[in-house]
Amino acid sequence: MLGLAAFAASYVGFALLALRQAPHHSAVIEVRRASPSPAARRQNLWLGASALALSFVVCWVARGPSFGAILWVLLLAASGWSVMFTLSYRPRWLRPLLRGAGR
Amino acid sequence: MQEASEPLRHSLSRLHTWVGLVLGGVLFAIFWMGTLSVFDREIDRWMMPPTRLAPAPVVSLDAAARAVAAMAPGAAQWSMTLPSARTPTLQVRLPGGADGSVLHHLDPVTFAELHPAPTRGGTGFIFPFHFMLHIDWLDLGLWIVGLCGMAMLLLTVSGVVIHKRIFRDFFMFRPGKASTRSLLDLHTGMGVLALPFHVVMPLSGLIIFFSLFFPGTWQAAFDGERAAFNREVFGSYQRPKANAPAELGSLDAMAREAERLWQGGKPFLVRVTNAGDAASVVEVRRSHTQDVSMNRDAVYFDAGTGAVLQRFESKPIGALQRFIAGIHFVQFEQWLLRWLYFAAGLAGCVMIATGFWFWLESRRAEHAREGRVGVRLVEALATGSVTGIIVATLAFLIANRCLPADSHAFGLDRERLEMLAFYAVWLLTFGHAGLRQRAAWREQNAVIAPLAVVAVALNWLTTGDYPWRAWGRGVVSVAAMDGVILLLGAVAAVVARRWLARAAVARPRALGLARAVPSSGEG
Repeated sequence: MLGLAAFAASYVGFALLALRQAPHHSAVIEVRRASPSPAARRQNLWLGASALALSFVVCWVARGPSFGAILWVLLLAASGWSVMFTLSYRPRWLRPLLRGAGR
Repeated sequence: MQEASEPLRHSLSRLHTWVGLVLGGVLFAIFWMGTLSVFDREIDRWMMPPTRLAPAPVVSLDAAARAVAAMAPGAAQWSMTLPSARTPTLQVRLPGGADGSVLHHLDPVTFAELHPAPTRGGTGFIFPFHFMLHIDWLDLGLWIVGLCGMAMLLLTVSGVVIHKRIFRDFFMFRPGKASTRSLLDLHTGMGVLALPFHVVMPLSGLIIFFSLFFPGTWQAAFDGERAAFNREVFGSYQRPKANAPAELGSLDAMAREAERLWQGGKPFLVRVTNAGDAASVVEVRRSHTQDVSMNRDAVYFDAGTGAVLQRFESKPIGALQRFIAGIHFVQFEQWLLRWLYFAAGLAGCVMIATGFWFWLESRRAEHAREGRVGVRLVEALATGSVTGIIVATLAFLIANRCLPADSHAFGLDRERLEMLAFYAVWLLTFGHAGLRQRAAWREQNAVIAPLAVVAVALNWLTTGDYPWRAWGRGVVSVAAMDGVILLLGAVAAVVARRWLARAAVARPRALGLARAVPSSGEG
């Protein structure tokens, strides 16, 4: 269960970081050549980084320092690929994040 | 990565391309076999049906020792590896055979010997393939893999430097764009997002074999004395025979004492040397399943009295080496981590394959126009290396389910015949790729799907273990392996179909090209 929570946190973290980038942002809101506002970019940077850090903490708590560190690194890879494929095949799925984290 | 100067990037780009081209095929084989090795014991269960037992509690070691004595009265040296979640049998190694010892699988409850049809399986064929390619001569296989480990580090570093927009394209995958664009996106996406994995795996692999690849490290420290080095690093303990008979004491008591010394660490291996002699020694080794580190902890007992003769634990540098080895070997029982290693390994395979395809697709037209053989040669090698080894692996599994237990042909025994099936089919895929060129990608992918179904069906027919029955009786490894094989087949079928669609679109253009330059395209 904690493993799933750590995956969710890193997925959300990477998704927020991706939404700072104009191509991904416009794919999600389905408006061509749209850019996120500087305020939203700043906010998503902090929220995204915090989510990644949170996922590390969850891994540590769940598996201890050594297993936790390995788990985190591999979960980052897995969640990164998940965000990548979400953005290319189902970008609309990330809309709730946009609303929550501001445009 | 904006700081890297253009000349540097240009030269590293050439390095990346050439090293990738020359060693990509071997690297794919190492990645593929390494990825499968993550589940080598599960593959063993699939290939040795009599050993598919539901996990059973730990045996009485003294009862096990009596069973061993009945099997091989008077054996001077023997060992037993205790059942674990991944290998549920009691594995007894007795003297005999061409290699000096033979492994027997025993039921951990009844001690009845199980008789799987002879096979190397996952731990005996796939795992050694990963690190020595089954080339024994002059340790050449080990050295090639070591070279590939170095090359992998070089490819990773150069890949990062030549990637112009590493952060901007971090999550970029554009499947709708031209094939070269989407192939490069996949190549960099699989590489960059798992960058720590792609650095740590080759590096830790090199560190595992440090005494072979970097002999200076230990020769300098121990004045080249191998025995002293072995004593210090492996803690091996020996003493001469007393040449007087003696009875074996209680192994259960020794195991309890070892557990007490390890503060809860469990024993996994018991080895008796000079059995029956008054100076006989019992070695109890500590299990690797609970920590990252693959410890070398051992306690040596006097076989008769059960008194502790020596206790070994790695010194700090040795312990660090064992920790790094543990990261690579994945012997801990953490299922989520195990699946993530598997996924990262597969991503590495995709990275190498897309690297090849990108190179081919971006040069195909140019080489055809200029009548160069580069694309034709690389295409044949890459196809055989990528899809070919997958087809060959399925042939290996199918041969395992088809060959009768007492098979003998061409002067080869059964386990050699399984390997012959692998190598013969692999060779055929290279020939096929050379003949069919671009179409071979699609055709070999199209062959993987039915072969996967055949492998799973044969497992069902020959053992009765269709996936949900295996799952139901506690043999999750077999059910999961069937599932992964079917998934592999499905992915290959999708790739084959998509290739078919793309090739159909590309054909008119290729024809137009051929008409424009009628003579030069035929090499």
